[in-house]
Amino acid sequence: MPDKTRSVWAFLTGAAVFCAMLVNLYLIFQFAPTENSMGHVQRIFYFHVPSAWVAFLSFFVVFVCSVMYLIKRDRKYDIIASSSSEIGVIFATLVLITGPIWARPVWNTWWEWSPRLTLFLVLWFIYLAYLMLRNFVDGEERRARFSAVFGIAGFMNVPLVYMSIRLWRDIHPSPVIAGGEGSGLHPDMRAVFFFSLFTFTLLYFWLLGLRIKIEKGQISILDIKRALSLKREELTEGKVEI
Amino acid sequence: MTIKPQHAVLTLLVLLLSISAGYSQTARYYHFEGALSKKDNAPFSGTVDLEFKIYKTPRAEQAEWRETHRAVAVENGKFSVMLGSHTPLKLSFYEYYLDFTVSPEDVVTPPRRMIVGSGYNYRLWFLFAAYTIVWLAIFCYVLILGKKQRKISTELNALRHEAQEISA
Repeated sequence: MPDKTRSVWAFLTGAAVFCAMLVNLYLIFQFAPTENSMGHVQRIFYFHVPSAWVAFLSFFVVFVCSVMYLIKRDRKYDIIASSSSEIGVIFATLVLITGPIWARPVWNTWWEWSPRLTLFLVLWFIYLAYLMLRNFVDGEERRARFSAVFGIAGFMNVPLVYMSIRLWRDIHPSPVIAGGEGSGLHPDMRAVFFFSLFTFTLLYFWLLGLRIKIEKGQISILDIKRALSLKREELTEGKVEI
Repeated sequence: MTIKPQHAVLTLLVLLLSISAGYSQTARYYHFEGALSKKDNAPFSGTVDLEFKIYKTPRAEQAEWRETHRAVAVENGKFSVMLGSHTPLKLSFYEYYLDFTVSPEDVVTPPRRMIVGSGYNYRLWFLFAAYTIVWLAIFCYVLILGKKQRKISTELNALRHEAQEISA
């Protein structure tokens, strides 16, 4: 894709994200009905759950790109995985912040060492370690290979986090979407929730685009620096020969 | 696309303003139950016209909001109305003072009384904190990405220029 077309797409996505955010805010604070038992604080749900969704989506992208990298050894997969993991960690951090803020007035505690909460914290540590690994390992190919293996192994925790509230007794509420009999949301709440998911997904892809562009820029800088240093060496050798 | 800091800050401001607007308008209705008695202290039964006024302080003269409810049924002295159903109620969740006048005139007008939001209103602060943290984090991240992008772009241009000079 030419650079100009790419910029136009990035601008359009950015504008769409901005508009979707404003509509999302209106829906969350003005349209969504107030939940009976928790009151207004339940509205945290509309950005707590989408943040968790974006974190899972990011880690899934890391997983897929890590597998693809190990198969094809193409650097572009490593770039996408690296970018996606950073966004995933940011959204997972937001989940870990907004969760306790929601829990305090509703459960009367900031934190419980329940399976869902503990496993999510472990997931956050795994991807934090993934980002640290990327910084500490030298050699592009080696770093990409190690990270890919770590990215695949780390993802094994995601289904466990998702299933934890179904498998074990947990203080965390049961799923409200696809949670079986007795679960569910008011139709207006469901509409706002899905719109919020859409907005956060759009935000994720926009951020991913920006992050990939930066990663590619950093690689280009290294490549040009290497080429320049070779050129300089050639010129110096030429001068010595003369 | 390059993200300029002023654009990101402006966007952040718009978002924070919209939450403030949403936050301040969350009290759209207030369910009010009251009691009326006649001048001889007997509970009143019948229909009355009620004009409600909300003030910021117990002695304020300027009403923040007013609304009239006509032909309200009063049974054994008790009535209930939904304030905000005729005139939009835009109050933040702090204490306010409610006054109402009654007609017919043989019904006793109660004194100004304090009203507060419902029991879970204190929880709004948690909602506000969570919301602010989420959007601040996202916008700080976007700002950082924008800054990195500009730095890389400048460095790339300088390196390309250097490469051209060496080639020449």
